[in-house]
Amino acid sequence: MNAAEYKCPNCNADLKFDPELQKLSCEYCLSVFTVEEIKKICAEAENSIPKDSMVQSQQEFEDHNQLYHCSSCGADIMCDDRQTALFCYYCHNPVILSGKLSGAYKPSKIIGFKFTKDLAVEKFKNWINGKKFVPDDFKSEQQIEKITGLYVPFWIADCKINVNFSAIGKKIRHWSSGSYAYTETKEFRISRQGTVAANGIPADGESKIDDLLMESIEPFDYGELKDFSMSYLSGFYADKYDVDKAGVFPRIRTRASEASKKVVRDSIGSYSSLAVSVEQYNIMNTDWEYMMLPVWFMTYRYNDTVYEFAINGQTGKLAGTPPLDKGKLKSFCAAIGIAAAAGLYLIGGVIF
Amino acid sequence: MSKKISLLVILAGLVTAAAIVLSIFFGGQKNLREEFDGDTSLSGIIDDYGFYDDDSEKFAELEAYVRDTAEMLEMNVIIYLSGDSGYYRTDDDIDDYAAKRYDDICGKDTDGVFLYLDICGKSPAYDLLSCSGKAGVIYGRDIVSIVETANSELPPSGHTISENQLTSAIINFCVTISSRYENYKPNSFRWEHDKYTGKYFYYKNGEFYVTKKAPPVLRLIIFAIASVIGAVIAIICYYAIRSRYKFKTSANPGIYVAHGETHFTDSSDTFIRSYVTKRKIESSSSSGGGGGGRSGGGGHISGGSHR
Ligand SMILES: [Zn+2]
Ligand SMILES: [Zn+2]
Repeated sequence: MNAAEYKCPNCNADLKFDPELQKLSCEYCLSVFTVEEIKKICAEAENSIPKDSMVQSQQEFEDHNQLYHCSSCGADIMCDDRQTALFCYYCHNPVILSGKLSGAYKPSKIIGFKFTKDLAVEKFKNWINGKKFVPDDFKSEQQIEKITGLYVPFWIADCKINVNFSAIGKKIRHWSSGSYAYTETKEFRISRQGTVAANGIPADGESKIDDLLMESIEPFDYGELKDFSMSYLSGFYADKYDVDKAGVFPRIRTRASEASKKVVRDSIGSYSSLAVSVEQYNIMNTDWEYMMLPVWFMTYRYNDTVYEFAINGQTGKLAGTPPLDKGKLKSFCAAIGIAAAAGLYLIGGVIF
Repeated sequence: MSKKISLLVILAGLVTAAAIVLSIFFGGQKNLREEFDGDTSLSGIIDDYGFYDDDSEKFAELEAYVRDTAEMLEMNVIIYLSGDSGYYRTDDDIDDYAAKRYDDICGKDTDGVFLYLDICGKSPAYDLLSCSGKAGVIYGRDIVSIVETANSELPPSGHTISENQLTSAIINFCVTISSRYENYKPNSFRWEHDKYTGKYFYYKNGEFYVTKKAPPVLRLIIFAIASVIGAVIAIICYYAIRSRYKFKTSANPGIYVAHGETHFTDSSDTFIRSYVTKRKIESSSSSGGGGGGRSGGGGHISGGSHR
């Protein structure tokens, strides 16, 4: 049979038949399926929604976006055509107009900014005020001015996961009678087979922004998702994705497996010990949505390292690793160490 | 700016350390030592038992020998022969009595030894050597063996002691303390401590000291330990604060689980087997003891041996 007629249900690439495994495999996202599984998944996908007004909205997107390029860090920044981007949100160097994005880059959904810039600035100031060991100019107004409202491109995945779990669980009870201590051990065979769904797992499609930083400001409330329109972009920047579905799939797979693992582990009552013999989580199908999510973003360059900060533009959740002025911290710790040593010496002098 | 601060802190640390080290070696320490004035008349034998009552010639001869020893050692040497009043003294009482009696006769923190020979007839007998001043440092480490060379001449407690035995015990004692004295080399890494009075005895630059404060070597050790602990605290502090400067945590993936869409075709906990093991319970117990002490007197290093 010709396997190429089947597409990978996770990343849409062509599946290839692996004679060794006797299975269909995807060389992009490394998913593996049996022929039966794929036939079943395809049959289900047959009756999904047909695209109708797609073409029209893609045309509108093409007409009204403007793409700027940062020759310094390579960032591609998209704006509404009524405004001009002057500086790169990432490296703060000037950007140049480089054309328009094709309709294929149009996101399907968007969550608009809800947490205002004033709130973001205040949040950042409060947070940084408690940090005594950051470089002084990190707290400067000039630095805080660099907070940029950025729509970050996200791939949102809904995954169906096949679960195969079995383990031996032990329940141990102790008691004593007379001069003997007794231990009773009860053994159970634990089995969990079936499917788990993990919906709305996000992964950003921008390689420059730290993945963990974006995970740290989750979750977004998808209840406020709207169909994408260029009007949301006025006053903000947007980023063009440079990592596609297949590129983010390993991250999605890890998180989907962790989610499934949590479901399975939560379903197991309390055992004194658990000896797992089989634990497999296979993603059978992934539905993707490409959307833009609002993030207040700021970078700070210190000792040749770029420090990134993000505030969720919807919920106000803040994340980032502040630059550490090691000189300040070392002096502080040395002072504490000296004080402690002097104190101990004095105490030692009293005791001895 | 922060460079300046770190330099200042390091400078402050170095200055503090230097000040402490200087104070250790040159700081004013009140030397409580009472130097031996060459008067051997305080030395001699106190015969509470009346052992030599019938042989005053022998007694005078022995006492002269003891005083010669005292003159040579430049310290008081007192040998005490316990009488009836010693019958009910415990070991601790003997320790106390020796220290107090010595201080009464020769004065606090003077250089000297007080040998208590328990010959009143109680059993077991407890002989003790109490050292004051420099004697504590010179004899402190060997105090028990010195007592033993003296009382090995005596018969086991309960037996009658002959005059010859007692005489050779006293002479042996004098010979032992003399030879140890001659072989002693002042060592600044050695000190003795009387835990009752809190006094320290040690040599510094060849001179003998009795002080309430710890000797320089001990204070240097305390300083070193304090510095190490301080350094450890500084390092812990550094890493603790540094680790608090991370504000990125992966979201709990459980939030994306669609709970209504979990379908287990098999979700079973099947009982397989059970077994019981038993073990005998061990029981154990322990006990502790206490102690007492004297204070306000001169410092004494003492040790004794039973017969
Ligand atoms: Zn794939
Ligand atoms: Zn740039």
